[in-house]
Amino acid sequence: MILIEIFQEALSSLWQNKGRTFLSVLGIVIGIASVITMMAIGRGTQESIASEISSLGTGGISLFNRSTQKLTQDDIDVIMANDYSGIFDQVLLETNSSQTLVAGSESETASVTGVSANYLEVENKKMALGSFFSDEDFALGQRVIAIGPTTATNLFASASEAIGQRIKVGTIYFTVTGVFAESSGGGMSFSDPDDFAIIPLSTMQNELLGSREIASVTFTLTDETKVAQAKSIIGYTMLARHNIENVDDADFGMFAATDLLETLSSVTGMMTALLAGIAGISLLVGGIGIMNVMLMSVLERTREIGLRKALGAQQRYLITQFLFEAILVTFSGGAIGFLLGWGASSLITHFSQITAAVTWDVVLMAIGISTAIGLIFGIYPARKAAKLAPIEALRSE
Amino acid sequence: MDEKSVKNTSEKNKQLNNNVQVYDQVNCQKDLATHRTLCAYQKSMTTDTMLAADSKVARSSFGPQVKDKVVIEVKDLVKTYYGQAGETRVLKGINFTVHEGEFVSIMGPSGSGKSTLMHILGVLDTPTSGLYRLDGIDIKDYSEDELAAVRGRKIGFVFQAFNLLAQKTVLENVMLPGIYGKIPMRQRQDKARELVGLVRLDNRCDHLACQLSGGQQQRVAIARSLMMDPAIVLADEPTGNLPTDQTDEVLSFFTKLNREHGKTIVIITHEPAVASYSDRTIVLRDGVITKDGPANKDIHYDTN
Repeated sequence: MILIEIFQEALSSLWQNKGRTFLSVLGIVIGIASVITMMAIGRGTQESIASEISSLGTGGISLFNRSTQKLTQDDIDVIMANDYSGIFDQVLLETNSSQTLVAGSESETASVTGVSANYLEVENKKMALGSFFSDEDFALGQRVIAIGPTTATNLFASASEAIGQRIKVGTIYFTVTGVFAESSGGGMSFSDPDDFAIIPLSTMQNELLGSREIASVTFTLTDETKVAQAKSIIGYTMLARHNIENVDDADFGMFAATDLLETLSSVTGMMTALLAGIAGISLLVGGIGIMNVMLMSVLERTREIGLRKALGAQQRYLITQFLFEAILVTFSGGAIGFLLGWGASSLITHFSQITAAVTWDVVLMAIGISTAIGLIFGIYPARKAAKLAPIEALRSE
Repeated sequence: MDEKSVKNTSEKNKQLNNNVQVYDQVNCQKDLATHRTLCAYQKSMTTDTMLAADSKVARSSFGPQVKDKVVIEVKDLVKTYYGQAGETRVLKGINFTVHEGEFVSIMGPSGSGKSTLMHILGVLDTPTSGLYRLDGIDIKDYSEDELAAVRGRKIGFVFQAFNLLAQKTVLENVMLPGIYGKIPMRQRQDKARELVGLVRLDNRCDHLACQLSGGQQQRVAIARSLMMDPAIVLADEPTGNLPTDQTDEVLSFFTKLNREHGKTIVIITHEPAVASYSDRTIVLRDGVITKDGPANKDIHYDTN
């Protein structure tokens, strides 16, 4: 019961000194607002990086040749045979080379990739015009080609005019069956992600390269969380089949998009921590400000403290009252700071590329930290108030 | 009050001070004699059991409301301050008792030790040696918090500077000791209203303390001092900050409390006119009691 009364005393004494209360709240407001905004920006950056990576479509694991061309269809077959628990979903085989494409008087150099039939599904691509290759095209190694929207406009008057036209790759003529839709994300690479050409893998191997070479394999997973397990199946199978004892000597490489995601998020995580740390310093300064104002308040209210002691206030009641005052100041500062930080994050989201995300854990942390600041920086002034000798306190002017 | 009467009053006061001093010196012995006679008289009037209980305590009771219960018992009280300039004995062995229902004034010039005595009586300070028993409680060896609890429950303070919380209402100020005394809210409010009525400020309950005149503030302080039904009301120069025309108003409340409500009142003052409202005056000089006897009732403020 008495706690409620003391809380009311604290509240009314803060209310009666609005100006002073406002000033001491200010430091905490700025501190919490900047921590929240900084963390929101950090989180937003992290999320936008993650979404860009996932828009690349490679949710799975890539296996690729290192220097010599030793990756074969047999390797892939054994890897699939070793997958007892059915982790692998799709297997996309690719091999690519840089080629000069010529159509009429126009020409350009672009990457031409031979792919297996599940390309659209694995790479998350869509056709804007025309169609992709038929199963027959893949089986018979037909001279068909599908091109990116940039390639189409580079070589032809418009994308729609490209369908059915012929493009000369090297010395061989290919017929255009379709044009891909523009890629959604793709800010990650320096080259235009829409400037490329796709042909069936068998055509690539037979007509352009003259070898059964596979440059890279993309495995998609039935369970995205089993990346590590999948990597170990691929890795051990390859090491065994290629008779390699030391991992450092491997003639193949593996890459999972999640690895990149992890690396990037640890970088952005560090950046977020750095930003929050700088904002945290302003919070610390705000806390010291609170202590300052509380000490001033104790000094100013010496007489009141003396009176309360004369009227029977025990030390713990005075400590409690002053602590309540400090915590009320920092807590409300935290709440206002949260609203400001939230507002700032919304503005940033509205006016910039970054989606600044305020999450619940950040809110709880802000409230927790601001309350803790009240406790930590309030205890010294509160104890000072409680320890005042009543005679001295009553005598002060 | 015009200038002439102010001058009159101050001259009167000066004269009164002189009177008291002369009275102190000449009549101290005579007082003691009177005192003894009075004690003998009171002894003869009390029952045997009470005699037995109080046999070791010199009886010195005046006034119509006085009961047998001792509320203040001070014996060989010494207070020494230890400073850089060496030790200073401010109280050099004080002895007196106050019974329930007495109206006592403690007088003395500045430096006489009356403030120190007031602090000890108010449990705001502790004696260096000697006994102080308040309402039967020996405060020796009490912790800081226990002393605070004793203050809250046993003593009602009225200060020279009123010491109200300026931004709180009259009612809130009166209720304040009840918070620390853990009186339930409703009960506290009822009691505060009753006390505000007692000092005739019913219509000011919701005014802020800072909106009242000095006299009214001191009446609020008197109401506040009664919140916990204390054993004694201890008033330290209660009219020191008041204009003369408001002093009688405030002092008469003390008289009323004593006469009509049987409250034990101790007023510390240097003004004989204030002391004249009491029934018994203890005079301190250089840390010792030089007079303890009936108050001089013939001195009054010129309130015209």
